[in-house]
Amino acid sequence: MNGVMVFLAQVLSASLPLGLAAVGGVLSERSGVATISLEAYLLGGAFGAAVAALATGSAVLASLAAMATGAALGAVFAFSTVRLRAHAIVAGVAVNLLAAAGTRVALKVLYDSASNSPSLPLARSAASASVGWSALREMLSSPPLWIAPLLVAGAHLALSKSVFGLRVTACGEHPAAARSLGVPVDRVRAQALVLGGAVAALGGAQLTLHQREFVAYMSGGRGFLALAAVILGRWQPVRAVAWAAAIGALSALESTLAGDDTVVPAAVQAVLSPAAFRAVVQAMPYGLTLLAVMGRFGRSRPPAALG
Amino acid sequence: MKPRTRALEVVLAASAVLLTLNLVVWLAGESPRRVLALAITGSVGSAYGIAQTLAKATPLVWTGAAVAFALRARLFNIGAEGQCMVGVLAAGVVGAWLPAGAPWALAAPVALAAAALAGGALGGLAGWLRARFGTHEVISTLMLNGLVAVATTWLYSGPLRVGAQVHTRPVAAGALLPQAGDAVAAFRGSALNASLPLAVAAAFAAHWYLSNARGGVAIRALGSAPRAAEALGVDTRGATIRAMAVSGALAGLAGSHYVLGVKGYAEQGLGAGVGFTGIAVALLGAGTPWGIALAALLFGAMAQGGLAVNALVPSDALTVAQAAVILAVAALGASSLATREAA
Repeated sequence: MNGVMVFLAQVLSASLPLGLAAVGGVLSERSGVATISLEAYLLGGAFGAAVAALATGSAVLASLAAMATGAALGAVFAFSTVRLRAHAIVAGVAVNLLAAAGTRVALKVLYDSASNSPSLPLARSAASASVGWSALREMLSSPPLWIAPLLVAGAHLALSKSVFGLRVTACGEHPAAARSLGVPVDRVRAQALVLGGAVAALGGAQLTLHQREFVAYMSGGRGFLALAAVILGRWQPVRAVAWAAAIGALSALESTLAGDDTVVPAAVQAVLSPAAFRAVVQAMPYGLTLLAVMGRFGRSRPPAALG
Repeated sequence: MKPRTRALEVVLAASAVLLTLNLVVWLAGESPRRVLALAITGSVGSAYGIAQTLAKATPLVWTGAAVAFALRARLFNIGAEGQCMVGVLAAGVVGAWLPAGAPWALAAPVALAAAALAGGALGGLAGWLRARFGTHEVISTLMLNGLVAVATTWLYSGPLRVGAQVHTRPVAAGALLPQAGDAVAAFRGSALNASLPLAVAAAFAAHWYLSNARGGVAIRALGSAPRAAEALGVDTRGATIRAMAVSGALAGLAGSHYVLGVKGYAEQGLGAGVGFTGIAVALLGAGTPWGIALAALLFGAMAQGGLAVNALVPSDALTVAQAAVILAVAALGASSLATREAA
């Protein structure tokens, strides 16, 4: 039971950043702008959360600061791609680089460190009799976890029901037609990208709050895994979150295996070493995504104006 | 938007970034002028600095040429990162597998070919997915980057591990590329090696192939008018696979700089980032060999300059400037990228 609760907490903590980044990615890409800058939003959000938490000691303010940082990075991306018409992939590469290097510069200037921030002054939840229960309770008390369902439901309803969502989809499927009907395509896209940045960056807050410090490059490629969830989820918020949860479960499984090789079934151990099996588990999201875009595995069709 | 308004916006954006950078340097308690002067003298102010700048530029010439090559077929290879990683791996493994006494004339070409083949296979796979299933190469190469990162992490820490070392066995002496420091005393101690002339030659060869060879013309036809090319009987699927395979091979050869030129072995993390910077090099270089070489030089100088000022301000400040240059180039090049693709 203890192990189950620890594992559940691990799944939640691994899925939350991926799921939020994936929803941010869905919002952005549905407007017809290829968004590989989810990595930047996670990293920037993680840093913004650390600064706010160190200044105020509040996890809620940290979460809001993360969203503000993500919105700012989304605005840089939107200004470059929508206003200056920079190629979306190139601009995404630049924004990723900007976040990776910018957070390190700020780390040095603010906290005189090249690698990590001071520990966050957040109260630890009181020790409990059960390790599993404390892990789970700590996870359940994380503000990004309560905000996330609202954002996912909001994104789903907005995209499928609201005028704004229909405009976003129109810009993603047929920008010329949208424009001829009077939709201000550039403005709608900019709004979607800024919103997407804010949502994705909340996932970064979760990384920082969980680790209780900011560490340079701590997003560690999760932005690209979130992009995989976007593609596997066929650019729909709820499906993308479901895939993010599946990928998060795989990564929790991987870290459990890293701690204890004996968990690997004997049948598997006969063929693969535990380390090789972990590599296979880690590789699965990328492999599944390739299969999905090959059409082997349902059909994953991107918004028409993408790329 | 009017061209003048656009140019003005780009200039404003670039100024904002420069101002921010100055502010950061100033906040870090340093004089921006002193930091800039140090960055310039550190990167081009001495023979050693110049050699280091050229060494930093070397993998960028490879990856810049790689991205530029695929771009001529209107294919966006953002997998140069992963292709370089498998190039590093292949050069390291094959170089170490060669007998210790293998003659130079045999060992170096074999190790180089291994890097090219590994990168080419990975790029070619993305090309095949595009030709066969219509899978967008941006998605496939990103996912292949992820797969390669997982696979190499496992290989370096597991099967390829030599005792406590986390790198592969050293490559055969014959496979090592000549060092600039051995020929010119002033370059001694720098990382500059024969991978640079090879990269520049390859960039020119790739350009010649696209302009003159039958297969190269097919690639350009695919890039500029795919339907017309198909109607005229050009094998567009073959051209797609070829364009991505050659691009991947060039990116894989970036591994030669690290493994055969600098380290003498392969390890995790060699070449991290050069695939993505190669995209900027290809755009800034406008697809010509000289342009690619000069753009690689600019980014190499920024990387080396960043290291020179690291004691005063974090070298990442120069990486922020790189990001700003990429954004400015992408914005300024928006129309030229479009026209080149449409031409």
